[in-house]
Amino acid sequence: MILSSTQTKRFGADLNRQLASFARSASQLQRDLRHLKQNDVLEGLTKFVAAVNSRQEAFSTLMSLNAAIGSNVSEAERTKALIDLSDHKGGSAAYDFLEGETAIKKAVEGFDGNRVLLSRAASYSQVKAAEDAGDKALAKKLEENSWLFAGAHHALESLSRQAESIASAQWAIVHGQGLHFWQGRQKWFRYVGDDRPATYDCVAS
Amino acid sequence: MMLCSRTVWLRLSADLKSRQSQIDRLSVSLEEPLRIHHPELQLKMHRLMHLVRASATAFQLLVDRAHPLKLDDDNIQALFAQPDFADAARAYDASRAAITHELQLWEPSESAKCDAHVEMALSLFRQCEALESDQARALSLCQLQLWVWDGVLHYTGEPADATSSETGA
Repeated sequence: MILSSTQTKRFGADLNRQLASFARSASQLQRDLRHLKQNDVLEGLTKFVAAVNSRQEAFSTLMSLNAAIGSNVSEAERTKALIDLSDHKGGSAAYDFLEGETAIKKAVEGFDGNRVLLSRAASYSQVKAAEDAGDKALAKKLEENSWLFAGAHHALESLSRQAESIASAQWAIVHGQGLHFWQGRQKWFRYVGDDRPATYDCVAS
Repeated sequence: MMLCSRTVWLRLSADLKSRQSQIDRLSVSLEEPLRIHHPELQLKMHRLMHLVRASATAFQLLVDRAHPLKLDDDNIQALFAQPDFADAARAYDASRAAITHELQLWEPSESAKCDAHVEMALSLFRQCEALESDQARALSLCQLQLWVWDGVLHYTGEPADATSSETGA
């Protein structure tokens, strides 16, 4: 079912708002991770943010090409029309869009949120030792850090869910334009209107 | 005692409120298409939105009271001694658990996800989860962590003897 232009605009506005919120949250978390000297997690987060931005670029390219197809092509024919655009532009854009989602999932797996939790536990366990040693300033600092670690862990969880939400909103708009494509089991690119046999994606390359 | 500047806190509070409003707006725009094409999903969205609003109301009371204070153990206990604060803490914990439960029960099939409205509902649900995580983050910045275990409300900084007698440990 192709979305009306009003619904497409509404979904598009929601997507843009989500992207802006994601950027703000990521920027704040980067500052917190720098303060907590969590360089490995920070590096993973930077790659994750880049993957989300890259996927949004692939989405924008796809939508520009979709606009070029025109509105008179039926839903049943739209994906094939996109793929048949000259110089493999449509197929490449659709493939980049699919690969972008995979890249985000890999990036999420790349940053180890548990490392933040372990650091929190380590920081918290040192508080009592600092108190026993009579170092109130250190105890206070360690306790504050343990709360910041807890906050950073929640922020990482939030960013992962926000990225999934952004991916779903992008898919909603893509499907809402009548575009349907996916990756076959051997990573073959498949789409509605593809006349290769259904077994094609089972054949080893 | 705040772990972030007043500016960061105000920005975070405003962001959470804004996202809550956006989630409300998106749910309203999905209402009619889901009612026509996916009535079960519409009911699920209703239940979820009810829980998200309950969670947000309880969360707001918690942070409104907690954030201006210097939260050492004594005034954490004073906060939880206030009946409406403790009720809000229980309501917050219960609604979070119910949201998690509600979302665990549903994963659309690949074919259903080809529908733009189903995919956008999925986006809405993920936004609710993200909002919940950021609420937990905000509470961490207020140095507040709470949970209910065996029907008893617990929090970091509660008196150790109260914990052991309430849980029967």
